[in-house]
Amino acid sequence: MTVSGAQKGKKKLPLAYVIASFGMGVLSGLVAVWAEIYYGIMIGFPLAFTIPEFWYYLIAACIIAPFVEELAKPIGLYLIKIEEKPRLSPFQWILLGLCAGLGFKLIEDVLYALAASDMALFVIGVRSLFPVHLIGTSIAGFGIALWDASDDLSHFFYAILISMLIHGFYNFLALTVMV
Amino acid sequence: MGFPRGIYRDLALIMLPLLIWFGVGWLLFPYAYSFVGYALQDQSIVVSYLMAESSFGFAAVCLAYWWTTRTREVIIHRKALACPGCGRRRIGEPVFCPYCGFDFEKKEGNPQVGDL
Repeated sequence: MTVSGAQKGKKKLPLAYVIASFGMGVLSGLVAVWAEIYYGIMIGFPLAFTIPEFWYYLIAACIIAPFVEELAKPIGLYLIKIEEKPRLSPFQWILLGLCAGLGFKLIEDVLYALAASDMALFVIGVRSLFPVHLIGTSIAGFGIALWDASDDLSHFFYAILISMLIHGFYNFLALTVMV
Repeated sequence: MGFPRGIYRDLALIMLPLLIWFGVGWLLFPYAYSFVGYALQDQSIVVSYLMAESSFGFAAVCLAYWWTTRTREVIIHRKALACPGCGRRRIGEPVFCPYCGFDFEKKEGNPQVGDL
């Protein structure tokens, strides 16, 4: 069973890759939560005593969270690229990135909703307005497509860096606008 | 003046709906807050509208890029090429493909090696 590719005459995107990307996106959401707690304690905890609380949250949201999450989200794509070595078009790699970002977003929404038990619907509603994880992982998927086409790993790292900057800027706005 | 080569065309096509979604999200964001009884500060509302405009602007750029470019192929200098026999990557310049035994110099398959 396959999912339709975007380009006529090209090979179709296997459904297994779509499921793997989505599932690894979900798993990476759980990994990212663990890693953020770890880094939050290791890096942020000492800072919490030396800098104002707002700056502590700013560093955690704009530097630590984007770094951890944008590295974790494309794990599925990375594994597909390394293990399967598929011959996919750039559009298909970006679609896989989109699926990974969707999985990550869904699990993160659930975790946030569970944390805000009485405001769960509101939290899910507001978070569904902003597809920042989908944008970030789509760019990462494009980076993998360029890496696949050129065998130059730096394209992937540049794409991750761009998605980190976008995520950090969004978190900065979220922290300053939403409070 | 020629059109851009179109290397980012696929990315622009997927970014277009995401950016529109993002822009609509920023537009609806103040209303979502007021819906549950909270009121955003005036500068926060201005920032969210500015973000909505920026998102729609980037979406328009993506649409224009996708509309005006036609070449879809990603053309990058490849350090490794695919074997014509089996499609796997060959690193460097070997004489035979290590997987299927394709002879790169004669440009023909080698069934003896491929059957191993």
